[in-house]
Formats: sequence, C-alpha cells, structure tokens
Amino acid sequence: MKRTRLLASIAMLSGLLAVPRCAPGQTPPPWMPCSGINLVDQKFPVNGPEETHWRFCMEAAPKNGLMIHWAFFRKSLNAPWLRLFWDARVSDIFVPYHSGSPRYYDMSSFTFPMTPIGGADCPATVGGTPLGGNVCKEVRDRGLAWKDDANVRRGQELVLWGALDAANYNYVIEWTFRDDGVVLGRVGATAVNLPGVPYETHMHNPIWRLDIDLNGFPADSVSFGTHSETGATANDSDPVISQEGPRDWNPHAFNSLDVSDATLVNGHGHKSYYQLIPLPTGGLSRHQESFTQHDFWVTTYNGLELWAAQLPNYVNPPQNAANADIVVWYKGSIHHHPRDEDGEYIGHYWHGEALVMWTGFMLKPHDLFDRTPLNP
Amino acid sequence: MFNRFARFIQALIVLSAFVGSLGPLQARSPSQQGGLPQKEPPTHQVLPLDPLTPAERKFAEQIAREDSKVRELLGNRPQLISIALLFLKPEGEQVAVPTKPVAIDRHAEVLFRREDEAGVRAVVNLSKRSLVAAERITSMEVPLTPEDISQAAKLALEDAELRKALGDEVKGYSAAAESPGARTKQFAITGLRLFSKGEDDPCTRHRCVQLMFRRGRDYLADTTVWVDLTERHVSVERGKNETH
Repeated sequence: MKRTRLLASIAMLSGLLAVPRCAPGQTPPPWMPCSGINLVDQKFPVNGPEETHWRFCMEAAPKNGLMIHWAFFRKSLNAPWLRLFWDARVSDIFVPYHSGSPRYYDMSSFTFPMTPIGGADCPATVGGTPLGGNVCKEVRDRGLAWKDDANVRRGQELVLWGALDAANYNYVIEWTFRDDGVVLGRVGATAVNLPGVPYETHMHNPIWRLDIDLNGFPADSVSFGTHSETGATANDSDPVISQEGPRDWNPHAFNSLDVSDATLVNGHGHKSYYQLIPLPTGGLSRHQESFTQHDFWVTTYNGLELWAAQLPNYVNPPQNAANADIVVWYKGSIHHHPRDEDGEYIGHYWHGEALVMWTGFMLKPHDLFDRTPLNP
Repeated sequence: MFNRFARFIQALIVLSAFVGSLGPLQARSPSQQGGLPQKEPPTHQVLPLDPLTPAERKFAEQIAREDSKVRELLGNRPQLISIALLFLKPEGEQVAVPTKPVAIDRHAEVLFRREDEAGVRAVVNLSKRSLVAAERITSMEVPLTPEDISQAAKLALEDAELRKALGDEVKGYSAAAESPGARTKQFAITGLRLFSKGEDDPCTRHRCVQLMFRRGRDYLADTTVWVDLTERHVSVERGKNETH
C-alpha cells in the first residue's frame, strides 16, 4: 500500500512537471522546449494577482552570449498566450577604429566565453539571482509607470543579462521583459580600452537578429512607421514592407518597424503589432562595410542565416516579405571617444576602467491590450 | 476500499499522461530512432533546447565528416573549430501555442577550417542523423579558437624583442584559455582576430591575431604584437605610449 502511494506521488509529481496546470478558465501555458535554469517564467506583479506573464527559454553560450528562444506573453490571466520570439540574439558586434584599422567582428571572429557572474554582479538585495554561473536574473521595480496627480502606478520588470569575455572588452548582453509587454534589448561595452591605442576613438556596433513570430510563424508582415509634417499638420503612415531589404532610421520621422500578424487583433478588433523602436545613445553609425549602411533590415526566415555581415547577400534577390515568416534586424552604435576617466599609463602598462556604455532598442506592443493592465 | 481504488485510478491517469507527454517528443537522442548502431549517443530524453552533450557533439562531427559532400569540401587535414546547437523551426506549424510536446529536431552547426584557411560550415540534423546543409565559407567567417590564441602566444613568447619588452615577467605569461580559471591568473595572454586594411596585407588571406598581455588588471601598452598563424610569423613593434 505504501509502495502504491509512493508510486502515485511520484507519478503525480512527474505529471505536474510535464503537464502544467492552470486554473479553470485559463488557457494552459505553452509547452517549453527547455528546462531547469533555461526556462524562465515570471508573472507580474510579483506579488498579488497576476496581470501579465512571460514564459520563455534562455540560452547562454560562447560566441553569441545570451540568447532568447520560444518566448510567450500572456496579457491577462484569462487571455491566450501569444508567441513573440522564436529566437532573439545579438548576431555580431562590429568594432572599427577611427584610423581605419583594426576592424573587429567581436562575435563572429572568435568563440569568446561568457564571464563568470556571482553575488557581486548580481546581488540578491536588488532582486538578483545568478543562473548557471554566467547569467544574472533580476526581478525588480522599474520606476514610475503612470501618474495622475496623487494616483500612481509603479512598474516591474525581469532583466536577464550575461557578458562575453572579448579579450580586453566585456560585452554585456541584456534582455528586459516588462510587465506592460515591452521588451528591451541592450548591449553594453565595458572593461579596458584597447591596449596600444587606448585613446583611439572607435565604435561598437551590435546588430540584433529578432525572429518575431506573432501568433505563430506564418502570416507576419512588417510595416515602416513614419511620421511627417507639412506646415502645421502632421501625418503618420505605416506602409507594409513588401520585399526583403534595408530601411534607414530618421529621428525626425520617428521610424519604427511594426510587426503584425494577419489575424491577430485585440478585443476592439484593432490589429495588434509590436513596434521595433531604436533607442540610440548619441547616434547610429555608417561605415564602409555594406551591412552597416542601414539601421534596419527585414529578411524572411532562414534558420541558417545568422551572420549580420552577410545581410546584403541574404536579401539578394529580395523575397516577398509580406504575410510571411519574417526576421527583423537592427544595428545600434556606441561611439566610444576615450577620455581621461578611462585610465592612465603606469610604466609600460595601461591601467584603466572603461565604464559601461549602452545602446539598444525597444519592442513595444500597440493595440495588443484592450486597455493597459497597469492601472491603479 | 473506494479511496484506495480512486487513488490507484488517479495514479494511473497521471502516469499515463506523463508517459504520453513524452511520446511525440522528436528531440530525442539518435540511438532511440534506429539507424546506425555505432558510437552510441546519450540514451536519456532531451528537450530541443537542452545544451548539446559531449556525445551529441561527437555525433554531430561524425555525421558531418562521414558525408561525402562535406568530405569533398574539407580537403586535406581539416580542423574542427566549433559545434553549436541550432534551434531550427520544424516544417509547418500545427498550433501557435502548443501545450503538448512538439516535434522539433535537434540540429547542430559544425565549423571546420580547411588547410587553406577557408572554412566549411555543416549543419546536421541529430534527430534524423543527416546532413542538412554544407557550404564553403571564407576565412573571415571561421572564428578563432582558444587553441589559436595559445598557439600564437607560444610563438610570440619565443620572440626575442617581446621577451626583452616583458623582462623577467615573461616566465609568468601564458594564454588565458589554457586552463580552467586562467582568467584569474596574474599574467595572461588574450587576443583578437586581426583583419587587414587592404589586399596587399597578408592578413587579408591569413589567420592573424593581435595579442594582449595582461598583468593583473593592466595591459602591456607600449608594445604591439601581431602573429600571422598561417605563416607562423611574429611582429613586435615597440614604441612610446600613445598620447591623448
């Protein structure tokens, strides 16, 4: 009898792990192709009844660092889960120096390991939990989300980050999943300036590859959001990008890549989409290499096309990109003009600290919710 | 009696649900799918995004090396560079939000370096034990390995000019990647792949590395060291510290 109970308990426990349970009326959570520390599941708010929920896989690997796979979002407790990413990663980090050489490809030209992360990088006092020795998970207050006089709502977020040990540099790769459905991607360059030329200005250009699958792989489209003004009036247009190819970001036009699905609408019947919005720090670079001549690229899915430097080839000849399985790419830039704060020579050696400089983007939902869940 | 029966039925239902949930899982080890018996990969159930096991890595290399197209591309004396998990979409998609295990084959990307410094990229399907794609890639697309840095470091440390620059500390230096925990060593050599400025520069075609010599948190700054690994040639340039 005891053995039967034990067997039943083990079976019950195994069943719970394999088939997630949900409350009556809720859509069951998506099955996940990962487990253990690689499976990230976070509801918001952290305490109290659920308003929104993220569930995805992370992978920490040499060369590409911290990647996100199979990411789902639930916009309310009883809403269906929505897939956002099949795969999100930094494809490469291109680093040209002002004198014309060197010109490094800091991801594709080396299999850099990830740095160790411990309690000093990822303290529990700020919501940090080291995962597997190379990744930090922080679940934290993100400041003011809304205010109307005395009515206030603060937001929360889950931040995952890890760093590549790229010789003298460390590259911090960070992914933020917010309670309002926003995703932020950032890369930070830090550690020590290039020995030999520690005062030479240079760029760090991370290029992100975002395989967005709203509501599943097929039938996604990308529109090019553009703001324009004529006299006192302004207009916003959002034409569909019909073929693979590049686009340029104009800060005066507030350009964005808007990714939608053919059938995904909110409760008002409005088309739901995610906007890829650059968050540049100072500017966006252009270099002689053709893949750096544009800020955005749209390609159709090919799981073997992972290298940013090949983008001009990936879109030649251009394939139809409307109502397709699409991938969007974005290049950010960090212009590092060394300063005295970066360090000094001590004898034959350079002693210094290049503090973190960031660049990144935002993926923001538009007409995904019927109304924001973040109300007091 | 009824309670015991109910518990038994409950256990049966849960157990069958558990076993059933594992059934359609495609991301299983190749040994579970019949086929070649040699060099058995792991027998435990794996999920599509679980890290590659050492046995799977070996198996991926084996599939690539045994394929005739890859063999033709590799030529003589190819060097294995890296093996990485690839998370590829299955053909077609049944549901956008699967709540039961989905058949997703496990894939790996295997990179080789050819004798002429160009490379070969092979993508293998571990679940189906087959080659998905193979292509020749340029030298630029073949990443350096920790072994490349170690080799460059050894060559450089034999250079008289560099030994002079490092003084007595030369004895302490070795490549950072040579042993686990080496990043915390007092003296370590790291490096970056160097690409040329133009066609007349040997590093256009050769595998060149710029080495960095780290002492504690500091880097040797007045001596620049390049190693052409293809020609096994070391260049050392000693100069003044760069001015601001």
